[in-house]
Amino acid sequence: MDRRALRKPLPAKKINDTKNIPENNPPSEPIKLSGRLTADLGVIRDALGESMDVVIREFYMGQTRAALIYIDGIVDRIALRENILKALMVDARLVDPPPDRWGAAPAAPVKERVLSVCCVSETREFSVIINSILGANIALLFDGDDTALALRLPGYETRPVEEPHTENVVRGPREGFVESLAINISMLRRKIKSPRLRLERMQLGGITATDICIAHIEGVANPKIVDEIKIRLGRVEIDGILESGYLESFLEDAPFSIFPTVGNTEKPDKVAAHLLEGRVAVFTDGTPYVLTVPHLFTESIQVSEDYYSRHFFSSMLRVIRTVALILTTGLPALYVSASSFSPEAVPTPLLLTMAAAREGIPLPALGEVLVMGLIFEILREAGVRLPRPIGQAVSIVGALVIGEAAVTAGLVSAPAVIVTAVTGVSSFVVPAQSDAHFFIRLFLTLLAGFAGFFGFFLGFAIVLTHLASLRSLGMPYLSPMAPLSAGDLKDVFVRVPWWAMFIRPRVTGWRNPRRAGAAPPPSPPRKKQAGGR
Amino acid sequence: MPEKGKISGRQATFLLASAILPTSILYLPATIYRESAQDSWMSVIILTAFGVVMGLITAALGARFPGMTFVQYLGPLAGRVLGNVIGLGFIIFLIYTNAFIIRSLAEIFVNMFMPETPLPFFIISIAFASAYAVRSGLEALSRVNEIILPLILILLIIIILLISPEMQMKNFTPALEKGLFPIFRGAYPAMVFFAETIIMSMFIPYLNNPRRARGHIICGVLIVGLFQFIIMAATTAVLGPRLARSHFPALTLARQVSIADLIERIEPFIMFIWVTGGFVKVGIFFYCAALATAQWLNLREYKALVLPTGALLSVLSLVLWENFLEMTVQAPILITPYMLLAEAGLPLLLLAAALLRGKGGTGR
Repeated sequence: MDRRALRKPLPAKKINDTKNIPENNPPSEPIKLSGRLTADLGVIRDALGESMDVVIREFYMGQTRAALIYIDGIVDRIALRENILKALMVDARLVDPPPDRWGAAPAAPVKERVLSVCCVSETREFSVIINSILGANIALLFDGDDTALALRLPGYETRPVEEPHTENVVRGPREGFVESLAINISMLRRKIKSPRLRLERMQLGGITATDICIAHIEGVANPKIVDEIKIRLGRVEIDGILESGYLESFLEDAPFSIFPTVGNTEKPDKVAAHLLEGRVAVFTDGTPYVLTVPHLFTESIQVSEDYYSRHFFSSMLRVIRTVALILTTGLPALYVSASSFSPEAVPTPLLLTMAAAREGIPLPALGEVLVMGLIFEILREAGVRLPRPIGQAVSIVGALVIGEAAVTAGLVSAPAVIVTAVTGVSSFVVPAQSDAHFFIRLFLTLLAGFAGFFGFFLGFAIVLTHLASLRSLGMPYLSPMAPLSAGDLKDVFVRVPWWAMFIRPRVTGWRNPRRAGAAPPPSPPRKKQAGGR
Repeated sequence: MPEKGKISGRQATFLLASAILPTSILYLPATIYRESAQDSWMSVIILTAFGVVMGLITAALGARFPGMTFVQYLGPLAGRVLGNVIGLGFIIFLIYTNAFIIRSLAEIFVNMFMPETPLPFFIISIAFASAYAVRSGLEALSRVNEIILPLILILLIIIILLISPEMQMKNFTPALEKGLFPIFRGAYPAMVFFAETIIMSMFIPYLNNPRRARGHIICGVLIVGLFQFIIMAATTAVLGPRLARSHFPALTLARQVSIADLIERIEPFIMFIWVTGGFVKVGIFFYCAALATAQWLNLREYKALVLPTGALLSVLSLVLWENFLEMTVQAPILITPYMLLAEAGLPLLLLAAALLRGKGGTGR
């Protein structure tokens, strides 16, 4: 009987009952400190369990018994030794009047006279004390005082600020975010020295209690978007958040779309630029990836470097990226349509070459492209996961097997190899969307394999319809192309010089459109008029 | 309210252009040329003027009944019973036209490109691809169109630039050889296309600024007229008398392109125009049909009607016509009067009734 009851799955209602999940949330009736040190320490010991990293240090300050509680390894040990323990045990005696004459409540005078620590807060509740201990604070309790002090002194190992691996630039800032929220925020603050930069803190994750920070610039960002983000994040009920990807899936407008509607970046300059355009950034503690919303389709062909290089070059790169985007999604479909269905559309010399290459190949064009595409994806995945020296071996084997042996053996035709190679290389040009590209490429290629150009173009129209129906935090995904806002095309397929970019993009920055004064293009100093001076 | 979205004026203009252009450039040049010969370009000017008049009627009706679509103001205007009958007729007109468009697109592919693929394949794929666009809503449809229409127009211009070496001005002479009458005779069957302006009456209430509807509609008609004129002139200049025998002049035009043995037979361009343009055009009529039905039945949501309508469209476009010749040669002669009655006569009658009975606002 008992066993069966154990095996029976919990009814849904019980699973959803949040009271069953152990959480850090304060109980409805907060338990206050008693003021008797031994009893209070007992409560804290019970709450934290017998964890090995919890340190409880009891000592005397003058005649008063006191205790420090902290977690070893996440607090600054040097400051703890010099600024707290030494100050309390030794230096406190030098204060005038001495501690013995402070009376029954030593917490306030200690905070005001002894501790040389910046961030100190007073509390009387156990839940607050325990949460602050877990959040890299040092708790200080006194016998005979029902007020405790929480001293914020985080000190743990972090990765140094490095150049991010995912977003390489030739010109532009090289620093990338790290895993510490505080350092990441400081990097943003250094870039935007404005009192209007707002950073709102949230804590999410029932067990991990991860710090989240929502950043926006007051008066530039649309307050409705900020509120919507808060509402969506407020609805999150999850035990842990280990990466911003967890939050991304809660922020998306279209969770079943293959296209990302939330952006992410590792670069502080990019986050700053997004904020200046009226977007909102979501920082997550423990990951260098910061989310930015709204995320538009155009952003996949925009790179931070575009804005630092000269505008002609940037514009050319934009066009190249657009071409790569079309190639990586459409080239296999084009090849299949042209070679299997509409050979008349191919110029005669090229057609003859292609036909000669395909002589004796066992697979149809569709099969060739699919097999080669699959092999390419396998090699790519292998190259990414393996350690670098072995990864090179994989790529050499892949290049030889795909490039040479398969063609020589007559398994696939040379044009199919070229198509796959161009497709693959192009997909690296627009990395932000590369997950979606694979599916679109497959969809279009299959349609082209069934119905030639008809299927290809119909598939194109369907994909476009899907893109047009997407929204990111309520903003149309294809904007500014559709709905067209002609002025914003200055930053899509071309990048106009900065002195011409004095209006913020309408879709995100309409609340405060003016970025700068409409300055004339810079020119050499005018010659002084004759007779002047 | 079955539709909650809003579209901008530019999107409305583009929708109107896409509702007419993609199929009108298919065979209108040949249809017009059979009657008006070398003066066909004049017929297009007459057609455009007719389209502008239709646009004015549509806009005037919309202005008298703000916030209402065509189906919705039939009731207050013509009475409950008669209004419902006319509404049903309008829905039948939309579905019939849509079936015709789908069939003609499918026939082109079967006849010109892929003779071994069965006709139902094309019909069903076009109908259900468009159903997806319709389900995505008016805003998504307008946005897709905002990208596809410019692409189509650019491709058209490219085709005409590439074919320009083949143009011969002597194909336009002698002008007015048989007097003015053939010009009107050539314009008559083509009026069906330009009278499709009436479907804008389904979109006017969803404009951001319905007061400017008239300007946007006229602008849309002028875009259609301009490109129809360009393609008419180009086909006449390149093909001359051969145009009368050509079923799909635009395709014949593209097949003639040959530049330096490198750019030859740019048929994929034409296929792109037909598939994507046809997709949008079918989508627009499909949307109107679904929305009109939902409003006629006083439903709260039109999306439930999309798949049944798609199935109905597929079946109708398969069974209504025996074969391609019946559809393109015989049917237009027989159905043109009825179509014109539904598209042009009905709105005119309604506007007259509204003016006489003093129904609706003045639109000021």
